[in-house]
Amino acid sequence: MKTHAHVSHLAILVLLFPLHAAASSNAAGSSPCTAPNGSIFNLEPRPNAVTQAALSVAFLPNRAGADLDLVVATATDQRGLSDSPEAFYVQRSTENCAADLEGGLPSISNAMGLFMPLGTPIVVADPAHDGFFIADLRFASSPDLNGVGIIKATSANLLNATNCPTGTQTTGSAGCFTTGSVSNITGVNNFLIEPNLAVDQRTSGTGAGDVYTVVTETLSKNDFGDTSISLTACRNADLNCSNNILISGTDAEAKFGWVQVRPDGVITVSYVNLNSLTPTSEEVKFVTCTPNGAPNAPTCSAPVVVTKEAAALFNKFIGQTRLTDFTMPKHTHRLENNGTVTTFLSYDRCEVKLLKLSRADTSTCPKTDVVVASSTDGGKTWSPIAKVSNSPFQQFFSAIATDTSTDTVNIAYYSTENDVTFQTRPQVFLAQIAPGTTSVGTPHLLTSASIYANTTAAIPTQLEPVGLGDRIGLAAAGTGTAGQSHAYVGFTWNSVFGTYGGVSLPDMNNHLTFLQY
Amino acid sequence: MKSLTTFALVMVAHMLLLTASISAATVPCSGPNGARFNLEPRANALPQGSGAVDFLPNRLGAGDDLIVEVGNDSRPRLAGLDGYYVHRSSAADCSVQFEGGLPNFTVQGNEVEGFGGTAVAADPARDAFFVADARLGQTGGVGLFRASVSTLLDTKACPNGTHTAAKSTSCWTVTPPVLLFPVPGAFAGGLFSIAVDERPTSAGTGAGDVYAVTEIADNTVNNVSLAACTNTLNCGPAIVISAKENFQSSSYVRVRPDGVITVNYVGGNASSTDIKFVTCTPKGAPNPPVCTAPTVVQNVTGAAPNPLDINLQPFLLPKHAIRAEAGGTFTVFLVYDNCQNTFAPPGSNAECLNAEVLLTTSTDNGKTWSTPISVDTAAGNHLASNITTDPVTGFTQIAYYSSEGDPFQHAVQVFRNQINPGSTVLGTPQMVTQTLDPLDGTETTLIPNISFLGAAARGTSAGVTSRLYVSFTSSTVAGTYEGFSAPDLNNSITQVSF
Repeated sequence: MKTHAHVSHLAILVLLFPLHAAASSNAAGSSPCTAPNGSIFNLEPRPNAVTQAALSVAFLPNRAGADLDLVVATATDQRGLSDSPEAFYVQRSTENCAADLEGGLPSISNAMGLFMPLGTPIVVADPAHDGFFIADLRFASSPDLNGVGIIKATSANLLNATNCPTGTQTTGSAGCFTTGSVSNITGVNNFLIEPNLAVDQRTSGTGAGDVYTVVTETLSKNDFGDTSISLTACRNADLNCSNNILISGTDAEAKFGWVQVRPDGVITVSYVNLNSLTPTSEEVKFVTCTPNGAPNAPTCSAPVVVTKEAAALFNKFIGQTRLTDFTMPKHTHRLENNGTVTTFLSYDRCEVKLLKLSRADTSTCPKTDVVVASSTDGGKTWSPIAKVSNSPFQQFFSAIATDTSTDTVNIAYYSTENDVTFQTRPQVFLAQIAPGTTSVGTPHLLTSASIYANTTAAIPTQLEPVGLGDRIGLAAAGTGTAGQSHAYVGFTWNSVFGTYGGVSLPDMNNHLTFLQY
Repeated sequence: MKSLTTFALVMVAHMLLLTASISAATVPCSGPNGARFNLEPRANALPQGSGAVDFLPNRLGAGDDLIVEVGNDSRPRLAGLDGYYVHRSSAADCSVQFEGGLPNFTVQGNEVEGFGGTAVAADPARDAFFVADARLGQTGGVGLFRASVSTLLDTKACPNGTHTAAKSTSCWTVTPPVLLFPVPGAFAGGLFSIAVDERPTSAGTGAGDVYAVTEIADNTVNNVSLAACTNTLNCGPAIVISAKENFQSSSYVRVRPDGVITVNYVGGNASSTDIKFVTCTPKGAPNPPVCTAPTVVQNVTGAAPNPLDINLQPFLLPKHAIRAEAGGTFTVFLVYDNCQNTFAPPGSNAECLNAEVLLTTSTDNGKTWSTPISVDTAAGNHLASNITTDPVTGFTQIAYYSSEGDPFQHAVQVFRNQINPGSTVLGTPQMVTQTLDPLDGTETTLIPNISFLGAAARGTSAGVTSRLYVSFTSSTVAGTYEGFSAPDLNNSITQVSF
């Protein structure tokens, strides 16, 4: 529970740069959330600031007060607040997308050892049980073990300034969390990467309230090139978890597992199988699992191919941006009026074949798109992919989430479409799929400002994310009344500078913005 | 029938006019972003950059200069990894009529090929250009080429368009090229520089001679060497002009209006890095000059630490220019990039937070130097400095990139600062290119995007407008890739009249 955070609070210098975008924002009102650069969502003092890269965001609408959402975000944070490059950030006092508190995640003890946080924290909200869960990677020593950590914070605890004090948690953040466990424990020959989780929002039925985690497990075969996806089910109240089960079948390079729970409790997982050893194509795949009630593991079907991509996007340059992209499929469910479920799956793809744009270039995608496909039969069959935006240049780092209060599907992404000359300055966009339809509406511009993402951290840190990291966080919810929903987007941005030796320079921070609709 | 004939004639006349207007379309040198200075088709365009430039004023007509630019070029079908680009049309603009890669040639039975690192020098008195590049073969070194203007203007020897290896050979080997500083394998030296004694051939010892300088380092030797060649490339042995420092780099040669050769280089040891200056008396190539011991221009404390931004690394590549004064004396101006503020994060190497261009001057032939001053004190990075003096009017021009217009300190514009004749006082920094160029892209190793600017200033007579050409790398002209437009790094050029 140690933290290396600074205690002092210095005023955060917010530099709002001239607007670079031609399009206008549809974001509502004059909230700091809808400022041209959104709002920085951490409390790091500006002198010698280090990198934060957004990973995820979740919230409970109006839970901190009337018209005041309780928002929790996670990021890679190079401060090492809990001796690890990860942190969480909470808005609870004012609807302004500013963090009231932040901290690293607590260690978790069990019979196998003391598991320290290692990275990639992902947060989800659990409105049915009034709390939040965060999954991350864990590591224990003597013996060396890997695992997936899950910690739970009730809303009441996050709102309790005694248990979870305002500011940067300096004595550890255990008080903010009530329960924790480690699952999917592996030895040193099986590294874990890219954890993800979801909560069954039902209050009755087999599996109701259960928490599911997926993680990519590297296998020693082929020099750790082989990977698979495993799934674990945990009980909501005490995080008593099942054994992990392999759900990616015989796929040798399954990565980026993304888990969701349908309104009927069925667990769904999407992932990509790279197929690099037998160069054919990347396959986006989908698995459905029947809950058996944690700590019993679910029963899963064989993976179904959603689509194949001939231009494998794995770690490829996005145009001339110097940013790299991955095929990271994500999906969400929408309950239709007739009781059926429509599943939407989005991911980044290269629209054309990959090129080498210079002798130093490994591979570049000249045109990166965000695409979406849908299924109305539980993932057995899928519609053709459709572009979320027909805009020029690069669209990337897509995220998707359903606002169940309005049945609106939200898709967030970066786009360089307004940088007509150089095509490198991104902005954050949000597209929506209206209830009852499967077509994407006109995207909303959320950050009317833009940045240069190719700046370098003044204070380099080990394993720090490059550029904008590799993803955007997205969560959408509301009351069901038009105009009272929010789609929060957690993103990485360098409009707020740090100071280094008295010189002001760009610093990557996790930011937050929203669309009110 | 008559009306039909008239109509046809009118149509033909219109078409001819249209054709004429198309062929007469100009490529302005002084546009907001200068001009792309190559002929590469836009489909799947590859990077060019790090160019140098020189020109012969009014050589093609009134206001129409013969311009030669050289640089690194990623196109695989050029003869080498470097490129030359020539404007020779009757339109006084910055269009390119032909380009290519410097040709392979044979040294002692073995072929040597170019692999970048180029330099160019014009020779108005003998109506010729010299270019040089790094060479790779069983024996590597610096390749030195000479092309007369008559050859460069000969559309048979140097046809329009992009040259094949055969065409580049016919264009650049009328005078057989030579390999200087021979070493086994690839040229192991660092950057090199060439200069021409521009005095009329009869003006004295060394007039018309060509000099090349480089640092050489391998397991057995490290030094700065100077070679002298006749104007037709009869070259003598290289001589060592450095002072047995532990290391040397960044040598740069000029020739004073009286024929004295001047060299600056960087030398030092683990605890100290100095910019040094050497003067050499010509002995008439191929005889090597006789050089003085190096003097220290400046002990450098802000040498290039790790770049904070890969585009904005200040390299320590000092360059100097010499102005003849009315009393027969000379003023030497020397510029170099310096890291103004370094920052050393705990456990990490020092970084450069912002770069500056410093100027120092000497009025006693390099024995003593003024305290360096910043060429541009605006906030931001100023780097990739180059300096040139118009030998006719005495105006000195300093060109550099500046990020001062970008809050993110990432995108750059080309700037210049002018020192008037008779003065050593800097002028006000002047913006040359208007668009802030991020120079992003995937090419980050073979062509450092903004490490180098080329600069050449020349005029024809006092009281008449002179011109400054600056060669630079730009990404304002896009390529097309799989049908989509995307930024492409190009060697570019801009012109300033003064």
